[in-house]
Amino acid sequence: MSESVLKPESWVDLYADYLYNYALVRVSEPEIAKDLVQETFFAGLKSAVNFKGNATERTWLIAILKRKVIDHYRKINSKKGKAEVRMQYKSSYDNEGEWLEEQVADPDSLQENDAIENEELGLAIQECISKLPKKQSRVFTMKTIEGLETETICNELGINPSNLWVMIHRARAALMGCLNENWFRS
Amino acid sequence: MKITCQEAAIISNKKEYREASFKEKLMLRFHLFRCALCSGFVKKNAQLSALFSRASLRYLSEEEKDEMKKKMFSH
Repeated sequence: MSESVLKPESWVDLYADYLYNYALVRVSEPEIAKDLVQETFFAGLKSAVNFKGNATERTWLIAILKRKVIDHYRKINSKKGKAEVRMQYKSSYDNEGEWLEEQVADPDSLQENDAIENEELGLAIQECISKLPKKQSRVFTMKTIEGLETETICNELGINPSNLWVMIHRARAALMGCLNENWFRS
Repeated sequence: MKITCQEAAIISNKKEYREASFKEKLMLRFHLFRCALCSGFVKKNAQLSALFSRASLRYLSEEEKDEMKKKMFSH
């Protein structure tokens, strides 16, 4: 593996969205997810000297974020005075079987399996987007994820519509190739 | 009415964002009759859009990112 060196000045551009989506599925509150990402960057800066270079930058940051997520849950649980696992109890009117029976995960539940798969898909897409040239990924996310009008994007970036469609085309073609490698084959 | 594969691809992309005009859609359909390669691309392109909507990605805005950068290096 090539020598890994930390470049904190490019962290936000390269990993903020990836980390944000990772956090969002775990805490589901956008503001908290954003704070956790920010804290991850702080912690990364602080412990940069401990980085040994045997992981990629992103893997290393994800490891920090994971700990931040755990800390977050510890904190909100200890606020109640004692450790407590928070879970959503079903409302009483649809209680039919035994309590325990109802809490057990249904292995055939499409809903949960879909959620897991979609999370992995989201991260695979994110990874592919982060490999695009900066301007292409910017145009692509504005158009596809933020759903902005062509005109708005053109005005903001100072390009004309045919530039925009060429960039969108290159981005989509690259993403098809990348997702073929990383998503459909794994 | 004849268009190249490059033009067909651009129209296919516009279609994915519902921005292809009626005339463009007609030209694309005409092209796809004779071009198997582009037919494959159009199909894959639609699948790609489906993947994106399924993943429901969220993004931080540029302002939020700038703010993050500022906070990171102001310490």
